[in-house]
Amino acid sequence: MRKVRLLALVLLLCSLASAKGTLQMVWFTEAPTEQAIFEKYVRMYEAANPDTKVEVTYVPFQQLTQKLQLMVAGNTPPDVARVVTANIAEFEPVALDLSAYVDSASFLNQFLPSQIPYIYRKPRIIGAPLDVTANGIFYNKDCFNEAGVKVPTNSLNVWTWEQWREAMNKVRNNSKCRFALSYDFTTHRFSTLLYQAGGRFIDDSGKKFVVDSTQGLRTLTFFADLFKDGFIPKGQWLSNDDPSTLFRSGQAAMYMSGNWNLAQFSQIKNFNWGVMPLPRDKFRSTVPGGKFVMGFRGSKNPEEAAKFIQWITSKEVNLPFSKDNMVLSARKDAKGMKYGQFDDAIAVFQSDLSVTPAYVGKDWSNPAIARLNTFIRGEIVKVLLGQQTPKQALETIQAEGNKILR
Amino acid sequence: MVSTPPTRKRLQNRRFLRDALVILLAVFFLVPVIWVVLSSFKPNAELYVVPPSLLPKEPTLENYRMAFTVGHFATYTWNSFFVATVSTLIALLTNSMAAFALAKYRFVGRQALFLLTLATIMIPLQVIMVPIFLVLRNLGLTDSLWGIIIPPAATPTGVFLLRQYILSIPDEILESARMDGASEWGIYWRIILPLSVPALATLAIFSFTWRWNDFIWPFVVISSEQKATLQLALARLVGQFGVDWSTLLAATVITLLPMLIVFLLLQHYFLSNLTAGSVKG
Amino acid sequence: MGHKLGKLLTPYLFVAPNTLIFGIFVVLPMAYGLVYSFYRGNFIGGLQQFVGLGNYQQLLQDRAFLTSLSHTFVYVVLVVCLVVVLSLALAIALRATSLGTALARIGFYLPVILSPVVVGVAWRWMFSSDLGVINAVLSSLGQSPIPWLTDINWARAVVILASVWSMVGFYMVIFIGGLNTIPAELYQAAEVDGANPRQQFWQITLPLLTPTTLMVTILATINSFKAFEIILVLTNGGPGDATRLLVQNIYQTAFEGANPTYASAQSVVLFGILMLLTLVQLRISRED
Repeated sequence: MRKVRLLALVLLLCSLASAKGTLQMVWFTEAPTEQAIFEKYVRMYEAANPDTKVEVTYVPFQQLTQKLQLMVAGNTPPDVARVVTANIAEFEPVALDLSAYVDSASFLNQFLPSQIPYIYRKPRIIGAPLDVTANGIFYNKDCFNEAGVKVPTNSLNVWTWEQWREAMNKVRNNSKCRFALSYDFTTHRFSTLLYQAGGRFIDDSGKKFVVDSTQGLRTLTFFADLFKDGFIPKGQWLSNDDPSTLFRSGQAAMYMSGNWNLAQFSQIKNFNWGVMPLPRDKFRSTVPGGKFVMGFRGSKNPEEAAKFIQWITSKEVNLPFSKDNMVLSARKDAKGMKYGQFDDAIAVFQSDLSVTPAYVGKDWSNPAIARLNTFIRGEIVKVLLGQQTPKQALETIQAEGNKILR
Repeated sequence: MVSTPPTRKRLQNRRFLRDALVILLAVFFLVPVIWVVLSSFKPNAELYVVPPSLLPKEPTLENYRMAFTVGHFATYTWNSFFVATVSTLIALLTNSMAAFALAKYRFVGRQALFLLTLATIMIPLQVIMVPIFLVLRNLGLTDSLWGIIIPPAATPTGVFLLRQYILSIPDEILESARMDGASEWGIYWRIILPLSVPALATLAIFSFTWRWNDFIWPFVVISSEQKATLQLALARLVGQFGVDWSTLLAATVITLLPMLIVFLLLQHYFLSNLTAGSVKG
Repeated sequence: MGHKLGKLLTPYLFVAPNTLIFGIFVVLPMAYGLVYSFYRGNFIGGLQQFVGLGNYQQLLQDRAFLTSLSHTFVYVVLVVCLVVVLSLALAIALRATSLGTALARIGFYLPVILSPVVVGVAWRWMFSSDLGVINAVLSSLGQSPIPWLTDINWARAVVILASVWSMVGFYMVIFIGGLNTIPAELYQAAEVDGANPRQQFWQITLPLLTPTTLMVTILATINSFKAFEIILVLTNGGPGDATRLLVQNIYQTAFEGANPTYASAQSVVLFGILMLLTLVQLRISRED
C-alpha cells in the first residue's frame, strides 16, 4: 500500500514537472557520436532556460518519416523535429508558421539563399536551416597516384564528363582499386548529373515535369553506361550493396556522395583521401540539400518551439554546433569559418555550391520530387536491368510526375 | 540381414558418429552467426578488408566498450529485460487460459474465436500502425512500458501452440478430476498447467525472444530515452549515410546472450523425452 | 440454475483476458484499417474522401501490386515446402537425447533469436557480389564470381534460402514437441513387429504428427506471407523489384508513398488471401 502511495506521489511530481514546460523533440541521428554532441547543446539550452525541460526522442533516419507521420496522424506532433528536405516538403501543411514569432525579413536574411526555397512559403516560414549539404566526389589519393592520374585542383580546370570517364578507366586499370566509382543509391545523387547536363525535373512554374528532354536522355544514357562498362559495381544499385563500405575498404577509387561523410571518413586509416570538384557537362553543378528544424501546428508548446528553433540556428549556437559536427552551417556569416583538418575539402564543396543554378533547390523543394523519390530510382534501375530504354524511363517518370502535380 | 542384436560397443560407435555428424552440420549451418560473433572482435578497419576473413587478425574489445557507451545502455537493458519477462508471464497465463477453453470446451463461438485468433497473426503490424497508435493514445498507454507489455502479450501463435498441445491431453483425466469435485479453475491450474510444461516452456522461449527482439511496438509506443529498449537503441546505429558496423555487431552479440541463457535454462523441459510419459497419464 | 449458468460461462471467462487484449489492440485497429480502405486520404489531412471500392479497383491495374503478389506466391510455396520438410527432418534427427544432439539443437535454433537486421547483414556478408566471402573464395580458386544478388534468379534463390535458414529452427522445436507426444511404446511395438525405420516413419510418426504438421504449415504460410524485414536488408527488394514481396509493397505505399488508405486496401486483400488459405488448410486436414 505504501508503495502504491509513493508511486502515486512520484507520478504526480512527474506530471507537475512536465507541466512546467516540456519541449518535446524528435531528433534523427546519423552516427552515435552525433547524439552525444546534440545532448551537450540540449543541456546548454536548458541551462539558459531553466523553466524548460527538453525531452528528445532519438530515431534512426530510416524511421524518421514514419515516426513523424504517426505522430501527426495521431494529433500528437512533437514541438520540434530535425528533418531533411523531403520531410519539410511533406509536412508543409502542418508546419508551425515561424513568421508569427520572428521578423520575417531579418530572420530569413541570416541564411544562405540556396536554403530559402525550402523554408519560405510566402508569407509562411515553415522551418529553419541547420546546415547545408552538397553532393561531391571523394577519391582515394593512393589509387590516383598509383595510376598517375592528376585530379583537378581548382574550379577552373574541372573535368568534362568525357575526361572523368577517361580517368575512371585509367585508375581502374592501373591501380589496386578494383572499381572506379561508388555511387549512392539515391535519386538525389543521380540528379547531380542531370543538372550538369542542363536538365531538370520540373519547370519554373513548378507545375510541369520536363525531365523527358535531350539533356535527361544524355544523362541517363551516360549513367547507365557507367554500369555497363563496369565503372560502378552493379550491386550498389541492384541489390543494396553499401557504396560507402566499398570506398572505405579502399576498393573504389571514387565515391559520389556528399559533405556529410567528412566526420566519418576522418577515421579512415588505410589510405589517403580527398575531395575533388564535381565534373561538368554543360554546366557545373552540385545539388544543395540540408537539414532543418521545424515545428508543428497543434503541438503543445509552439512558442517554446519557436524559441528553440531561433536559438539553435543563431550565430552563437549554430557555428560551434556545425563545427562540432563537421557540417557546413547554413548561415551567411559562417563564410570563412575554419574547421581545422578539412578546410581544403570544405572549400571544394563550397565552390561547387556557389556555381549551382538556383532552380536546383527549387526542384528539390517541390513535394512532388519528395513523393517520387523511390519511384524515379526504380525506373532508373529498370534501365540498368535492361528492362526498358532510357527514353522509356524518362517518359514514365514524366507522366507519373505530371499526374502528381495535377 | 543377420539378426544378431547390435553390441553395446557398436551402438556407442554409431551414436558417436551420429553426434559428430549433426554437430558438423550445425557448425556449417551457423557460419553466418559465427561470422557475426568473430567480427564483433575486429577493429573497425578490418571489417572492410578484402578478401574478408573469418578470424580477427587483431582481436579487440573496443567494440564492446563502445557498445556499452551507447546512450544509457544499462537503462535500455533493464527496460528490455523487464518488458520481455513481464510480457512473457502474462502471455503464458492468458494464452494458456484461452487455449484450454478452445481445446477442451464446446461452446458457441468457439470456432469463430479460434479463427479470430489465427486472423490476428495475418495482418502485419506495420500496416495497422496508425490505428494502433490512436488506440494506445486514447488509453494513455503511449510512452509507457505497459504499452509494449500488454498488447503483444496476447500472442496468437502462443494460443495456437498451446491449444494443439492441450488437445493431446486425454479428456478422461479432466473427467475424473470433475468427479472428484475439482472446480474448472482447479482443473486448469492443477492439471492442465503442470501437464503443459513442455509447451509452456516452448512458448516462454519464443515469447521472450519476440519481445526482446521487438522493434515495432517500442517504435510506435515509446518516445522518451528513459523508456527506450535495446532494439530501439540498436536501430539508431544505422545512420542516414552509413552504419556503425563494429558497434552494431558487438551490441548484437550482447543482446543475444540473455536469449541464449533462457533457451539453455528451458530447453530440457521440452526437449527431453521423459516429459512425454507424464502427458499420457 | 446459477451453477448451470456458471458452467455455461466458464469457457468464455477463460478466453476473456486474451480476447480482450486481441480485441482492443489488434481487432479494433484492423477494423479501422478496413474502414480506411474505402477512403482516400493521407497522414496529414486524415480521411478526405469516401471512394467506396475505388482503391480495390485501382489495385486490379496496379502493376507494382500485382507483381509483388505473384512474387509472394512463388516465395511462399517454396519457403513453406522447404521449411516443413527440413524442420521435420531435423526434429527427427535430433529428438534423441545426447550431448551431440543437444548441442546441434542449440545450433539450429540460434538463427531464430537473431534479429532480422542481423540475419540480413550476415547473409550479405556471404553473398554480396563485390564484397562477399563466397565470391572471394571463388575467385581465389580461379573461378569467375557469381552474381548472387545482382542476378534476378540468383537473388530469389538466396532470399528464399536465407528465409528458410532463419525460420527452420523455430519449427524444428515445435516438431520436437510434437514428436514427444507420440507414445514410445508404439515404436517399441513396431520394432517387435520388425518394422524398419522407414516404415515406422510412414506408419507411426507421420500420421500421429498430423496436427503438428498442420500447425507448422499454417504458421509457416502466414509468416512467410508476411516476410519483409530480412529481405529489406538483404536485397531491398532488388534487383529491380525481383524480390519485392507484398508486405514491402504495402509498407512503401503507406509510408514512402504517404498513401495509407491505399495501403490499407492492399492489406485487406492480404488478409483475405491468408484467411482463405487457412480455412482450406483446416478443411483439408478435417481438423475438428
